[in-house]
Amino acid sequence: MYKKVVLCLMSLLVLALGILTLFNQKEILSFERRKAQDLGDFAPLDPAYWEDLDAYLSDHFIFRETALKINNLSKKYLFAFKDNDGVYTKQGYLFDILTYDEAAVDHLILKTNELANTYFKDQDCYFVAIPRKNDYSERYFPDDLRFADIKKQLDDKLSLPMIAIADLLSLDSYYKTDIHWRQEALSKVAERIVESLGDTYHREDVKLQNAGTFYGALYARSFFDTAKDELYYVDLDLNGVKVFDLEKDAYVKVYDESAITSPDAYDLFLDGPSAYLKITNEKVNNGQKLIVFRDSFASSLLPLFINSYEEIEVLDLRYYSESLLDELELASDAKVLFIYGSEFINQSGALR
Amino acid sequence: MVFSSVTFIFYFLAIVIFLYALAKGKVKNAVLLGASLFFYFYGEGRMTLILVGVLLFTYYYAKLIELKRKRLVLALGVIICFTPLIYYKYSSFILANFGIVYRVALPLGISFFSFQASSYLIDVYRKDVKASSSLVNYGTYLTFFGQLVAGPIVRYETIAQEVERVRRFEVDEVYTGLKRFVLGLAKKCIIANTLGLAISEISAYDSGLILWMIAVMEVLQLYYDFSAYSDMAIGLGLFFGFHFLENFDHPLFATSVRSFWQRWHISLGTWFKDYVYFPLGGSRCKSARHIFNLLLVWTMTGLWHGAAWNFVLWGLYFGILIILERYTLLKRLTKLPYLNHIYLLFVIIIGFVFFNHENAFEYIARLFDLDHMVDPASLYYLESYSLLIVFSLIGATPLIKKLYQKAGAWSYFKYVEAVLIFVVFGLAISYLIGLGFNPFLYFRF
Repeated sequence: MYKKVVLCLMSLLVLALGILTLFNQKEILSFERRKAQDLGDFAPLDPAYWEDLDAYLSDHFIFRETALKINNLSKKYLFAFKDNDGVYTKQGYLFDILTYDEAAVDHLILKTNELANTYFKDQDCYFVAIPRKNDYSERYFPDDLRFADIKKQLDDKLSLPMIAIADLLSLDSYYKTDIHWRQEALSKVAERIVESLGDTYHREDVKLQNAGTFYGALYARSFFDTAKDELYYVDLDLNGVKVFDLEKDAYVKVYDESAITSPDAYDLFLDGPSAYLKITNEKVNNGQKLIVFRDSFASSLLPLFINSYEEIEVLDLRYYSESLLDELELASDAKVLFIYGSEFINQSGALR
Repeated sequence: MVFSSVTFIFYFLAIVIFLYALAKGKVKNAVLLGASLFFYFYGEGRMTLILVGVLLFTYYYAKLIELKRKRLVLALGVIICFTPLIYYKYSSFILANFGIVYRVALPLGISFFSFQASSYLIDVYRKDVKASSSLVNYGTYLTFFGQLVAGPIVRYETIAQEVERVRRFEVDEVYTGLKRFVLGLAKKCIIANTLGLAISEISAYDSGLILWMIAVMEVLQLYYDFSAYSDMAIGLGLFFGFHFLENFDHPLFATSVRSFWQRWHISLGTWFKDYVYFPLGGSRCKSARHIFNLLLVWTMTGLWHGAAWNFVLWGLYFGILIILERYTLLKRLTKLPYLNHIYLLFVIIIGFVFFNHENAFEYIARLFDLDHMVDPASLYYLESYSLLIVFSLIGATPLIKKLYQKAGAWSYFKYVEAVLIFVVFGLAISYLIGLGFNPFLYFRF
């Protein structure tokens, strides 16, 4: 009798999960910060269609988030893994493991030297390397990348002057669940960089706005033993500020609160990843202009520069090819800042 | 389509069982045949024509063999049956040895269904079975989705009676099949895939300790992955009234290489024994001929697994060890309890380096390079993955099965077992979702 009961219950369970999954329509898997697999046109003769169907059904599985959490937790409590997919928890923060790639750092140095010497030989160029939050915590993984490794290589080979900011940061300058730094902790960093460029920094009254709860990129890969983050941004006087996005061929917001519900809430800052932005501020007439080559870390920092510069041009060479730089007609009287996080410097293969 | 996918478990299998239950009498086999062809088409598209070609050819050719029972007729049939396998699996390898680059995609499971189809022709020739009188019944046997792409290699005589008669759902058997399927799903999703992830995570490192961990975990992963597929195949067979023979019997607990191969991929070993080794004279001949027979069979076993020289070396390695055991080592090994287990594990771990690495000799040399044995990262990963390795090793022994059987004597255990089925199923599904696409390793053979 009990066997019949088990078989009936299992049949009902499979049936219920299968049907509920069919009705579970989602465009974004917010927990994993990515878009859900889309089911394209019906193409039964194309094996790729069936692969997409597998991915689609897996992405829309009714208890997908719960399943992922059980999966991660069992790796901790069943197998006692020290990290999950390279993510570990310490002091209430999530960290990811990254090993030093000397060749990648060399590649970035070479590209940066070339850029500076080719396009900006008559302009002042500076370089900022941002430490990882792992640098402010005791070493956990023995071969984990350390800022000192990168810095020594940059000191030895980079032809630009470097602006040091490591002393202005600490562990709580970063989000608990993400690799990025928190904008509200960057006032001194912004001031140091602008003044090191020889420009005048407009000090902001730091009033914070809470954009909502933030689960960073590391959260879904963690053992869920850390607190969530709150996403704050510094409330600025943005009257007269315009941000033009070349890819979208449209003006975008400095802070886009709707991004909080997008796959990556960090896109709140300067519209997330973009190839080229031009920020102008009608209120500022000090002649200060800046060209910034950057990665995602700069998205939250650059708004703090807005009231110090008339014009800031922002380029991300992951999305904009260096060979097309001439077409942009970049300001020839601007200072040039290269600012990258250690993660990017150590994985510079994406640099175009 | 893989068993360990949402598509298979929650849709394909559910629909097939529903249609199978609705079907009356002989229509049940038609349902299974249709489902199996769709199952294959799902992953392989137009390659399904090869499977259908082998099916049609061997079905009708077996009737010809019954009429003209001559060696030449059989040989011609077996050659034609193996032609797609030789073309798709070995042409690139053969031509590469002459410096010609030629690539062709390998149809899924072609080694399995070609061996199964050829065994049918030989068995009909030997009068071990009668040629099937129904294309649907024979097609159900050859293409059954439960074991089509990764075995076990089922001989027609094993399920001839079952496939020819009208079957019903038997609660006891379906329940046993469910247990077996869930066990296989758990072995695949929780253990094998996790071992695979661990291997890929540490494969960027090259200290001796890391290489040893990789070598051990690769053997364990292959065992769990492949035996899991066989578990699921046997479980699926029971759902539909088929009793497939066991394909694994705790091979890593063996005490000799010979015994290991009697417990690992048993259906392949049996195929080679019955259709190659015995016809060559087996062991009932002079020593030199016996050694030749063994080396030939093991070279073929290596080539069955892959068209590359490292697989040939892998096969020969085991052939030589079996010859050594047969003529000198085996008597000594039986006198060395415990040590014989260590011997077996050692030679298996080393042997499977040939299976998994094209640069096997270099890899093995680095395993014993004492100057680069340990570094801090390797100690980190050893600590991190030690429980996974220990659990996997324990699970590969008969210990769990024995404990389970003892617990079965307890009258309330059936209720615990029922709960366990759901808990393990849920955990396996969570791993399945977490890992995304995770094909079985033996699909590539």
